[in-house]
Amino acid sequence: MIRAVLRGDVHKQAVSLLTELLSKGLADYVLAYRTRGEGVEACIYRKGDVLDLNVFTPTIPGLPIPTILSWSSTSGLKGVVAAIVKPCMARAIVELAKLQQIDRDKLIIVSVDCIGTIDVENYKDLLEEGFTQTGITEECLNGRLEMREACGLCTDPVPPVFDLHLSPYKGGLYAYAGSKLGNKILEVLKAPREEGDPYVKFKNLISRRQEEKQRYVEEAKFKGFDELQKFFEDCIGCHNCMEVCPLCFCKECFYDSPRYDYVTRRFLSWSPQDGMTPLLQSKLQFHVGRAVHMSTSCVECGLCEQACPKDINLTRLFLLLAEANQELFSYRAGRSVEEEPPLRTFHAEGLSSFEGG
Amino acid sequence: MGEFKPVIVGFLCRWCASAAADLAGTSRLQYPATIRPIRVNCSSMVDPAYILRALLEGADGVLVGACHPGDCHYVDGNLKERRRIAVIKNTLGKLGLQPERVRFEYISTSEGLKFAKVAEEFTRQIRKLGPNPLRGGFDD
Amino acid sequence: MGYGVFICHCGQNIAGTIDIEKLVRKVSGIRGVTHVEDYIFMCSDPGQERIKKAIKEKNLEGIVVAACSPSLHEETFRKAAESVGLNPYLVEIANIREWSAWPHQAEPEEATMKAFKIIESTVEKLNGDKPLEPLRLEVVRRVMVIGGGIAGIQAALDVAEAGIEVILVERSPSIGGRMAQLSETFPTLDCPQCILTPKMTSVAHHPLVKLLAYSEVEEVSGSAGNFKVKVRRKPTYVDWNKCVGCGLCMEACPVELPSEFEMGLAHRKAIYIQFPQAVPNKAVIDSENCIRMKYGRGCGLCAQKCPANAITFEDNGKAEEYDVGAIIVATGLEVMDKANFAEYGAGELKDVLTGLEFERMLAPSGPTGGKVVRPSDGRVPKEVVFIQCVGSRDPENWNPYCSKICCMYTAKQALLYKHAVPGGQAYIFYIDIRADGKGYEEFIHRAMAEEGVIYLRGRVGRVYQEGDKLRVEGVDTISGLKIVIDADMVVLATAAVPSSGVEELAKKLRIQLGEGGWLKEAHLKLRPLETLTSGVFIAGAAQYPKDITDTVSQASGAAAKAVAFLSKGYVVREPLIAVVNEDICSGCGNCEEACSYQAIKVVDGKANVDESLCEGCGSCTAACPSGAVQLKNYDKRQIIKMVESIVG
Repeated sequence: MIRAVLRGDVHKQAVSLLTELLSKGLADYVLAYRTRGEGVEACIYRKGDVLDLNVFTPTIPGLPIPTILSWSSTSGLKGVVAAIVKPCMARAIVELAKLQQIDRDKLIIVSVDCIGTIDVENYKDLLEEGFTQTGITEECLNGRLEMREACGLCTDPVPPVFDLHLSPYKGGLYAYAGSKLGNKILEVLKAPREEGDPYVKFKNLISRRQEEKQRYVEEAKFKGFDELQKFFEDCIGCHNCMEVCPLCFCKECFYDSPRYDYVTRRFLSWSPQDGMTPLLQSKLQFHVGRAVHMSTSCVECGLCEQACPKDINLTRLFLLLAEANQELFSYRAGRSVEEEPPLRTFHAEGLSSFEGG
Repeated sequence: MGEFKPVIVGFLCRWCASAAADLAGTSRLQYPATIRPIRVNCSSMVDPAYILRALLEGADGVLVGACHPGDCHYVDGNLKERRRIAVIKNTLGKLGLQPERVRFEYISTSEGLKFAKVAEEFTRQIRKLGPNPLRGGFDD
Repeated sequence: MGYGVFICHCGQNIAGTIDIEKLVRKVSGIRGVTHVEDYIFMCSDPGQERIKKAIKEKNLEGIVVAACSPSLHEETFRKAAESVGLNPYLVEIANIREWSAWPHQAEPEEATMKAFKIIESTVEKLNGDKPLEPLRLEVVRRVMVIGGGIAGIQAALDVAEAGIEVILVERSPSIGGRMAQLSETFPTLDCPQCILTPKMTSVAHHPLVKLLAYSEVEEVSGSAGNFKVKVRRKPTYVDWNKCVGCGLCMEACPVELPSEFEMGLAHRKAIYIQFPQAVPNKAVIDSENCIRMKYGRGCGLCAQKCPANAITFEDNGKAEEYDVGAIIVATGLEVMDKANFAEYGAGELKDVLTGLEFERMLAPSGPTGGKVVRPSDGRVPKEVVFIQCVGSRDPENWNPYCSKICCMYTAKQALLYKHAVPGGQAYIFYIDIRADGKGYEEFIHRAMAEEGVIYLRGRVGRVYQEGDKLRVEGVDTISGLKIVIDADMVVLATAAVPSSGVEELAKKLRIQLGEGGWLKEAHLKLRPLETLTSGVFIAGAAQYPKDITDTVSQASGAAAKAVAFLSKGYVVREPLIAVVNEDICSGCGNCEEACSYQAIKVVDGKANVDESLCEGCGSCTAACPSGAVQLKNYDKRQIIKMVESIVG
């Protein structure tokens, strides 16, 4: 893979690269997060704007960039957007592109190295305590700060699909080209170029996490109904997990709609001594139903858990189901633009173990 | 509460399994009255949502009856449905929700006997599993 | 107001098991039901009258008839309701006979409960039903016939004679098919050229027939009455408007290749006319083997000789699109390659021939001019062994089915051999002789008694070279004796199999193949000329091996079906198809991928249903994550309500 070597301060180099994308007309917009006193927010920049963005923000706030992109794509925003994303979000973009929610042709995926992020709530506190962004990342790495559970199990510090990938090194910043478009951009930028591999420095991390994830997923399996019931005990049905999910692109979630509502009057026709049972039913229909829809495209970002006001361990649920349901079709969400999502395409393959009794 | 009488929702494709159920009746084959059939146009219209809903409503089992591979009236609806069945069963399995309660069978128009056998065997299997734990203590 | 439920006793068929009184009581309690009535035979005239009366008097908004399978009387009750002004799509059938009364005779209580549940859920469905009008679509009065053998020719002629345009598509350079390859036909021993050639000419010249030779069906879209078929006209590299079929080009061409028409027993050139009586009688260039085409220069001898300046070497292939209302598939059969049969020399013993090869040898216009000679040394064979059922009726190794034509053509070939080689001896190994046609049994007798063909009941185990003879080792199962014949020639009646490429064609046409790869008919007994895809008919051996008599009759039948189908001028389609709620649709296109009929497409970010193509399977509804696509009168809410009531 070709990479450009941008020597000097990492942040400055990143900003100047993005500024150049705008000024050379390679992109019409830059979509990125910026940190302000009160937290992190998504921001769209145009040519001439001051790019007060944070490329390596060690957190992902509630509104994921793929979701914003799907809105802009389907609402007919003209022009090319360069989106600065973490690897999990790059994978989500690939999924949404396959589901015709994002126009891949009008997008520059600019991914960044990511070994993990911390809960957005904690991030604000840490900033107040005087931590810097890189400081937070370092503390995460050496284990003094807790990263989000999903991040600790993430095996994609660099995404499988990107146009440009930004990776800091001792003397500055590497910008890798992961596509024809990426190559073209590097040519225009005129920085010194060389061969390189963005994945290599994470080799050990990836293999360690692969093992950890495998163990985790095995243990994540639910033993029975009671355990599942306990798991969802605190769910208040706010459906934030769906609101925040980068893969949930439906205008109206079927499991949250009048077409599938769980009629509460039936609550009364069931025996009242069962108390909360029907409520549990409505939780299950939502979570299981939604999982059937999106688990084959789930990128395991864990934003659902971050958004859950009751801190339900949704990372466990979705890692479990994403791994299981994607493996069924030898599919991996976000791995390639060519792979068709399992419930979208159809092949007469052998799934014969699901036939009969 | 007396003896456990399983309730099984049967989504039957009108071109095959539903006709097989007709044939089983016409042939006076006797099988347990546990299967409560809903005729559908093709197994491929059986949204996993219906299966999930049946289980949440308290059905002890769900049967989806499709045409044999290659025989689908709509080319390959049966195999499309098989993918969806695979996902819902796999999901139920990981959640400890007894995927055995969902059964996908190919039953052609001429297989009245197979229909009766499946009804019988599935009922036996469900009896062994016991009542659906999702069933909220409902008793008629 | 409200719904009516009509419970049929069906004599004792339902009432014998189900407690009707209890059922009526329970059904009366269903929300929305204002009228419940039971009667001994609802389908009878008085039964229907009761329904009509109740609809009128009680002003019912919809009805459920709890009776037998909807496949039996749904139409009956819909018509009855319609006659008194109730939309027929507000009539639902609850099948309590086949699904409850009959299979649960020993459990009357359970059967009654189940019948109630079936009725209750059906009322729930009715609750969501909307009045609908059938879709009426104009048809294109044009038929496409695929395959230009005798079946296709006959079908095309019959349709054209009925005054309807025909597009006849044939993939070879000439029409004529298998029949054109035959020597004589059983049982009349007609010369097939004599009876076929006039038909070939008349179909080609019929003013209503457009013949597309050397063409293949590439893509089919649309549906019954309105198919769009893309046909690829393969490049001939010869301007057929100029070519007069004189054949001088063939004389000039230096490249010799085995002739497909002669089953490899003779050569053809790289530029060739398929056979002397070809229709159209035009030359094509086999571009893979033509020197000029391969190297882009040189040779060109044919073009120098061509008096019409027809040879262009230019790729004149093109795609054409035709609108047709109906399609007749007449793709015919071929025979298995003898190389499959190691026990009979695996195609390496030169004097072991297939029946079709031997057929060419017997043909007066064939490679030997009708002389029977051994391909290995040109000698006249004194003893010929015919082996039947090679690859047929052999479920362990090959095909379980009977190829149907071999008994008769083998007898014919043995007989013709005896005529060609007086004093020669013919032996036929057979399992059973199947001669079920007019004059067929007599024909077999003639071969046996008059011509002295020796029939041996049994299978042949092995054929191998022994000096200049072919040693045939078999068993006569009647005498139980092992039989060894040192023959000069062996003829294998290899199994008939569907023509190559029929599988892809079937996919394009969305029709089904059954066992053995033969086209599947809508019903083997009652709808043998139709497929399950409306507007697509079958003629000839594509359905199953057939002799010429049966092929021609079926072709005429298929033609009549196609003509009848188009004669009304329109087709009526069930309106129970998919519909999109655009407010909810996100345009992800999952529905598009789920549809086998290209009936739903995302246009400007919203799914869009083509009513003329949608077959109403509902696959798109399950594929749609948001529930934006629904099936009319089978929407998700309805089904969920049905589930609720049937379980609860």
